[in-house]
Amino acid sequence: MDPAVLRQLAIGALPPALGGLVVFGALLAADRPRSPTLGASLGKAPARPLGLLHCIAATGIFVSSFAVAFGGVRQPPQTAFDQLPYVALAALGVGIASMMTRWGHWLGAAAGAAVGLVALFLFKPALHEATFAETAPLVVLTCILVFGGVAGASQSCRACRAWIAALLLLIPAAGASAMLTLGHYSLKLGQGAGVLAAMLLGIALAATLWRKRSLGVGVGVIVAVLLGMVVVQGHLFAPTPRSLLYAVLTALGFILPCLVDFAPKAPRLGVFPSAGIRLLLAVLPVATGVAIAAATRTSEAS
Amino acid sequence: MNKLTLSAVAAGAGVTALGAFLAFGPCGPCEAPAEQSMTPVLYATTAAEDIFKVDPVHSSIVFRVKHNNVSYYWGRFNRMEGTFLIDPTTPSNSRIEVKVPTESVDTANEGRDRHLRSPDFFSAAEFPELAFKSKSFSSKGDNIYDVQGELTLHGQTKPVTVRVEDTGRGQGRRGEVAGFEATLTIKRSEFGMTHMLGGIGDDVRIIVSLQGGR
Repeated sequence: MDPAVLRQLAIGALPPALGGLVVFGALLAADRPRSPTLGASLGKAPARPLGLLHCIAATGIFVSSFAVAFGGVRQPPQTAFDQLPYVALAALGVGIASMMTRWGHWLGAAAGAAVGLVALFLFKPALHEATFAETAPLVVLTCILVFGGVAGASQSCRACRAWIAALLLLIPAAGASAMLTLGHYSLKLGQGAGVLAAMLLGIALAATLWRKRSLGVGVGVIVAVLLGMVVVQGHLFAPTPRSLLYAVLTALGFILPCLVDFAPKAPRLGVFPSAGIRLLLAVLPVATGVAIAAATRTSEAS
Repeated sequence: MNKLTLSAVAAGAGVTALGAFLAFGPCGPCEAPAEQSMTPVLYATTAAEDIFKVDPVHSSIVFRVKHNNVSYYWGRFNRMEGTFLIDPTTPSNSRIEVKVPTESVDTANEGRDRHLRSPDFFSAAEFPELAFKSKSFSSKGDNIYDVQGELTLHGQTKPVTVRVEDTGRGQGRRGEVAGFEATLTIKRSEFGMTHMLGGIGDDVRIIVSLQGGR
């Protein structure tokens, strides 16, 4: 591989991975252990103050890693990609709101979709000029996918221990990174998703030390909104005939693991069987997307 | 709902409303830039019929950039449009205005072309045009001019100086034809194209050879 690409990947991956490992290591260590059995007690998110800190830490790690990887946060943003750190702040607001309200699960998903919709028009102002027939499918699909992604991601944080939840968020993020790089031919967008994936890898590693802790639900919301916006940028600015397929498969990576919670025998499953099924359900759509992107990639780029 | 819940909902609604206003409201930066007219503003001494219209079939725009700091590879833009006039007797009457669809970049490698069109480089869907508009000409003798102008690339407009050679005038099948060759070197990083600066050079030499008719 090109040494410049390797250097760029290292700059993009190491800071968020280390940030996730160290910061979330400290935050999880400060939390109380949950019940070892699955069910209502394990399904609870960490206490609100710590959960809020999880949200702030995830946003802070993403924004600072983004600045390191892409040479700072532009003020004002020059390109749609430059707007991602600002989208992260909006996602933080949604993440926090979703943890502080009674109907946070649905409110978070709806607010995440609203942020996605607003970001869509900020990314591509030309959409203001487009006809209803041109924009409606994009708007509807963005709302559905972000809503589903956020609902799935936050449910994974609610229902699973931190290390499983982090892995369940990591799989769509890493998969989207590969799809954007291979399928959309954009290392930059791939690296944007890769920053999230590296941070989640760090969190997953930290969480293996404190296996009975939970991840703040807002972290799932923030990751799903941000990843959704990177994928949307792939469709808008590096379109391929399979853009929408990649977006749908990424969203399914968040949504499918939650099917386990609807299974009648789910509460009786052990931690590891449940985690295994969830991880498999997350991997299937994402691996399909990555395989399609790799198989349909043409000749070498750059 | 308790006060905390209410305040969180209100904050969330506020953030969403602010975002919606920024996206849909009548703020300047949110609006798409108005389409610029291809017809240049004519100087008092120049009539519209004096201007040459670029003939894209007989014109070329090529560029070169260093790869891995060892060799140059070349690319081209396959489409362009514009107008020009080089007046050797009164250089102040001269002008060049060219627009190039960034989507037409071609380096004879489909994968690389798609990468160049992506947000990593030109971001062709976001910034569909590369444009140059001259501001002033100064003659350097022997049909050579230094042209001050503005280059718009990757959404940024910067002043540049272009060395232009008037390569001739003649009679074509459909009327009078004229041509020029322009050379300039830019730093892509100055236009915000900073991706992979280690492996792909910062300096990009652009050579524009246009023929126009009137």
